[in-house]
Amino acid sequence: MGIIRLEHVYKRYDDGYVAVQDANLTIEDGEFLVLVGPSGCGKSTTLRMIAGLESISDGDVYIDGDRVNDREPGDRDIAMVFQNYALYPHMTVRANMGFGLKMRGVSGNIIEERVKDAASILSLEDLLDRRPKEMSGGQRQRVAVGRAIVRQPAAFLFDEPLSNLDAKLRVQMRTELSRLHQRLGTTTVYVTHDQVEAMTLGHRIVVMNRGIIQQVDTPLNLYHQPLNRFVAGFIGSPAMNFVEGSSRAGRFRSGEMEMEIPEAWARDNVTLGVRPEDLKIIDSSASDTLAVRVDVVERMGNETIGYFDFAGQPMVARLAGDVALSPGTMTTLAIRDARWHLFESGEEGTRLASGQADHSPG
Amino acid sequence: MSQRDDGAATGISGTRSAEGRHAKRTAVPDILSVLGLLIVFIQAGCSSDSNSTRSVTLWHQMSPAERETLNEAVERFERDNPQIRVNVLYKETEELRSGFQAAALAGTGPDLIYGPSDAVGAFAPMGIIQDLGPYYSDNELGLYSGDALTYATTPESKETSSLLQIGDRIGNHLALIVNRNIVNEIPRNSDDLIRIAKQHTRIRRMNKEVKPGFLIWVLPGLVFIIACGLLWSQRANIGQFFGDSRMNPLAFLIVVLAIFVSIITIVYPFLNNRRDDGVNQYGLVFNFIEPYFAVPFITGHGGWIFDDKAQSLQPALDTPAVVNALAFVRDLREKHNVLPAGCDYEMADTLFKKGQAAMIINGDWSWGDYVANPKLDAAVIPLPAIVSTGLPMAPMVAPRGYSLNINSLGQSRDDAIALMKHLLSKDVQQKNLTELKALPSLLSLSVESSHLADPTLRAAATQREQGRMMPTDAEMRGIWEAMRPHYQALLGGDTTPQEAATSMQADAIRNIRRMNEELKPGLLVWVLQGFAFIVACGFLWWQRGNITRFFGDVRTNPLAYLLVAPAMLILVITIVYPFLYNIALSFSNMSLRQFRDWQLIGLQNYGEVLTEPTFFVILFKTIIWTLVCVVMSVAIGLLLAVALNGNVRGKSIYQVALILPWAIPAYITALTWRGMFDAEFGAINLIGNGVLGLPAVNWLGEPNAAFAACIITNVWLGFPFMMVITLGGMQGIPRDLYEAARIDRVSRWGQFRHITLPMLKPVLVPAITLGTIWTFNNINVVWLVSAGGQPSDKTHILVSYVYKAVFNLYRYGYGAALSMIIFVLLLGFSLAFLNKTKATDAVA
Amino acid sequence: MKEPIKIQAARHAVLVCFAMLALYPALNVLSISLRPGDRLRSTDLAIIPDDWSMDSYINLFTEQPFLTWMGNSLLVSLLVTVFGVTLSSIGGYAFSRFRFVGHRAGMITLLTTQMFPATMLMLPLYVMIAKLHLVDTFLGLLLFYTATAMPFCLWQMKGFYDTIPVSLEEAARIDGCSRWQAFTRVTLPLAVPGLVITALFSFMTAWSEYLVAAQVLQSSSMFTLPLGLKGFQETMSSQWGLYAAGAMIVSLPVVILFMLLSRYLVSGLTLGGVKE
Repeated sequence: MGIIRLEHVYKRYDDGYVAVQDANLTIEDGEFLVLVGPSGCGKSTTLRMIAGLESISDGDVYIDGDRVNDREPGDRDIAMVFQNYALYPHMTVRANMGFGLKMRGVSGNIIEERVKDAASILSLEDLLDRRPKEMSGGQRQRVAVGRAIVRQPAAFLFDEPLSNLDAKLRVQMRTELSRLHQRLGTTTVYVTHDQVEAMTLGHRIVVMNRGIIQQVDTPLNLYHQPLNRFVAGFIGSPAMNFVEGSSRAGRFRSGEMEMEIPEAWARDNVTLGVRPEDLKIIDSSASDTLAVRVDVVERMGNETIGYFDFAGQPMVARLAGDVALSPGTMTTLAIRDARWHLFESGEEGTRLASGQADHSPG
Repeated sequence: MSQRDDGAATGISGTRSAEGRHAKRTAVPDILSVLGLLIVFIQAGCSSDSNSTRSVTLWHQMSPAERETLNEAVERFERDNPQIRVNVLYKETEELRSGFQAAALAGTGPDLIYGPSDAVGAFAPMGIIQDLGPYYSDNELGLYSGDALTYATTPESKETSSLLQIGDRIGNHLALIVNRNIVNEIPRNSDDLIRIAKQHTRIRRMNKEVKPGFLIWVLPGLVFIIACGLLWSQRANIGQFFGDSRMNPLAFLIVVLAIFVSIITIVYPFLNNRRDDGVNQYGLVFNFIEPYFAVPFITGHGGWIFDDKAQSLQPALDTPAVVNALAFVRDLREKHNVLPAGCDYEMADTLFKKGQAAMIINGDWSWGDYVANPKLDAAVIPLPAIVSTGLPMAPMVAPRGYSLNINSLGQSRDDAIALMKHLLSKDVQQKNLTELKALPSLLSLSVESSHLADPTLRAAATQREQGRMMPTDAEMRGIWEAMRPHYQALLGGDTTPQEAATSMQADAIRNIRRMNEELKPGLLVWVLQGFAFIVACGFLWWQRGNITRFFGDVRTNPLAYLLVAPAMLILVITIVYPFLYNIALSFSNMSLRQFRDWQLIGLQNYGEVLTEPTFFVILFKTIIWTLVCVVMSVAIGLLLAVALNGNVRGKSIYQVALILPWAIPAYITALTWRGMFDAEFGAINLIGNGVLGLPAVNWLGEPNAAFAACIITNVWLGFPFMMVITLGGMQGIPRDLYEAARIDRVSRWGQFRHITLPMLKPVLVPAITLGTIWTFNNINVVWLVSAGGQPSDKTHILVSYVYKAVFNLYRYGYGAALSMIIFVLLLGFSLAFLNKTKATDAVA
Repeated sequence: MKEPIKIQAARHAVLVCFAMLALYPALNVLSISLRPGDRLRSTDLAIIPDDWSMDSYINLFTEQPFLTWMGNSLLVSLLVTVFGVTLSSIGGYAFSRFRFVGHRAGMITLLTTQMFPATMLMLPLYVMIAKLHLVDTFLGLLLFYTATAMPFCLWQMKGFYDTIPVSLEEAARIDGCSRWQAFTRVTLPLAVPGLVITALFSFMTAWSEYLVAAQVLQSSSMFTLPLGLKGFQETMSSQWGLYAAGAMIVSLPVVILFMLLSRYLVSGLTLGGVKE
């Protein structure tokens, strides 16, 4: 069991800084929930409040229906994996993994057994008598995970666990964590600033910015139906293109470009968002196409990333691998299948409309 | 006693059990148990006072030989009075004085104190000793020589004098001791004295020596030349090591010098092993730098410390007699050269004991040792007369005896009086006479013929008859303080006898005025108190947010406060209370005349400190002292850390050797350094002058050299700390930074300058701050190396100056104000420095 | 990578030279202690004089209450060490880990206690010790020595705790430790190098102090080593041989401690904290 619920949770510091503002969340049993956002957005603070390492200024946190605001971290039946692993340097791997059970008065035999199980899951059997200093980063990471699973807690909390690993190991550990979750089915809250990790791991993703939850949804919904410009820009790589313009009488206008939009908002400043994969190069130009100058061309083989300049605003497009482009020339971009979003201007401008009412695949 | 030990033992077992419980119990009871332990301790300490037997405490300053007879007498007393236990404690003269003052002020202290009569001069006006009149009948007092009874006025007695000390011996005077193995005649007068002294002075200046010197020059010289050659051939590499690819001539010079000095330090002692110690012989030695030893010369020239004709106490130091006497003393060294430079008590004593001095002038406390020494054949004779006046040289004579603590009351007072009467009795004095050759104070013993039988006693008695009683006025201290610097300046050749005499007189008058200054509280006190109140209120108002937050915080975060509380509690008790007491003192008139009944008077003390030019001169010196010491020890610490931080063979051995100056208690090594700086017998001049042929430096005799000596000692004491700190900091610097720098072709110096130093900043800033504070307030080194500011009070830094003002002239209020100023200066510096270097995070 | 031999040579040159400078005065004390007849001054530079004798050492143990002094000093110093380490280990922890009201003020106060000339504190200190009836008790000494060592020890421990990542304790708390347990089980064992330095410093403070001891202790059976040594060094008749011999023996334990702990000294002395 492991249902975590946050109700109107706030974190305020003595100097008046509000780190988390009115967070409401329910994490279902067995769910893998990812908290994502830029650094300083309050995602780690939220996690630490769930863990009990940070006091809760206002609101309530429930684990399995019990209010745990005043409970010691050790009494919340959770396990946590830290960014720097936080392995006890003066203990062996075995002692590190067994420490939590020992503190709960579990007998030695059972501890030994469970440590062995966890070690075999993570293929750590040969390292049990080493100390953290004598291991590589990846191994330490695994020990930190092992320490968490040995405990068989109601929930796992991960605080950017992969950010200290190199790129290759990170991908490998990512899939390993995914597999682990499938196998154990334990409720997991996972904090990261990397949207790829968020998209690949999470059942649901919580996007946070400046202490406020922007949107909670499945990865695909976040991708296709971002609630605001911030979420739209944060999810997806390369990030969504934004074109500043105005809307008058059912038309969006930016420089030479003009496009029909469903409703007749009369606003001086709106933002048009188009994902790089929704742009294509066409030969002829029309009023709703973008005349751009080619800036940089990155060829990946399977695809080409093109960087363009549209009247001073940068644009990125994900194009076919063999597309003909040379830097410095002019070309024309068009939006594929009316896959665009219109936002109010500003960093967290609300989504006003989309080209297709719902272009999620199902 | 046994109870005390029990208390301590309880403490140990208590600690052990408390630690054993740590693991299982939660925080709160654990800290309570620590507090409880403290309370148990305090109670154990308290209960030790409740002894069933009565006890009397006696503090004395007797020499080891005298202590033996004292102990015998005390044992006899304890046998006769089994219910009384006598607690006898030796204290060095100055320690006895300051210790007794503090104890008496606190309402405790020994019942009896024993010492020379001049101590009474200070204790009387302070009102810390009792009138002995009530316990002695006139008949009893009639048995003693009048010189043995010391009368003075106390704050209680007002106008009339009370009897404050009864002496058991009269003497403490100087005489001439002759080593008859060297001298066969007895000097009849001062001309004789000088003639004989010159005749028996044989000095071979070390830099003129040929015989052992040749080898000493050749060997290290060769090594030196080879070393120089080697170093020169490697100059580019050494330069690289020290920083630059181009050789820095200064660095080269330093390396060469350092290696040379180290070679000499190793090689020389072995070569010189057979060097004859007894080459030099002096004619007449004595504690040349102390004015007390010059008194016989003054009296011999017809002068005296005080003006005999004046109504009130008036120093008479600028008379022609004093000027002549000063010239006479100076010429002993300058013209006749019969004693070594900077000859102090220790040196004179050592020379005479080793048979390297024909004659010595010393006090009665030393005669026993000399006469008993089989190597010497010493004879005590009275000091001769001065030819120009025909007057005998008259030393100061003083009784030594017992005084009663003002806090000794009731039963313990009666016991103390009983002990005192026993120690003054005929039996005891007789024993002192025969065993110690101490001249008794009882008239009945004085007439016995035994005096004449023993030549030493005969001489002592004669000398005593020629002597003058030492004044017991508290003002004597002001006089000595005034004489010493100018006297030493004269001997150092910095002034003329006439100038010295004039300055002595002026300073003596000033000191006496200051000592007797009775500052009265002015209107300002009320203003001041009001102001303090307003400041306190303002502070509370300013901090009101924090104060209210504090109470909330205590409830939400009790653990933090519980953890800090015990440490802070101890600090508050032992440091904050004395500190506040001191603030009060700094606004008070506590001094010789207002010792127990001091009052707040206002800002006078601060005014006095800040209007004195001396203060600024000494402040300037203190800043130089601090700056040089800190910079040097940090520089040496850095150099050594750089040298050690790498793959050096024997690293741990070096490390241990280099930590030694830190490990050995400073009060020991500071004295050693004083010995090494000695002009004629110190290792530094022996090597520098005797081996290298450098000009001999009178390290401790010249103000600047003495100051330099203090600095060198302090740097020596301070560099290991800096080295260790730096070494620790260097281990925290990531290696890849250096690798990156090497790829960028940064020179070693560049790496040091742009990587090591900046990366060490977080470690060095607090270390330098602490180092600065410690150095600024380091009284030990200055006091021990320069023997309390010598020569001429020119080596003082602020703290030693404070110490001197307080403990020599009893100016407690003034001293407290000066300390407050020191405190504010340091506080200002630290905050500014820490802010400037943006290292406050490291501190708080 | 291997250093050029010349740089190695330069290192050794500097080290040898300063090691000599550091050693010589210490050996000088040895030399005095071996000279018969209280000769402080001598033109003889040899470390071991021709007519050396162990008289001073023999006298020290047979005729002087040297062992009593040593016992007293050991008792006081060890108790101060226990107190100093205990109090500064918990106090320093609070200063490192908690941000409470008065935190900064407390740290600065610790620094400011070092700024007042200690000699001026003697008189009020004595008055206070007398009022607490602690004159002539070891407790009085203990109290004062602990307080003297405390600011440095607290600073030092705070600095050391700062180098230990907080996440270790957080992990421990998630593993079920209370704050106190997280401290004793995880942080304290990791702070051993810092504790060793603190202990050494506390020990040294008590071991080589005599000004306060001279004020507080008033019976010779309670004397500590420095106080006993001070007795040999009188105004007019110093027993230098005994003094030097005593000094050698006083220095010995501290030097041995330094030798044993020099490894910890370098890694443990963190005034201000080198974070990883």
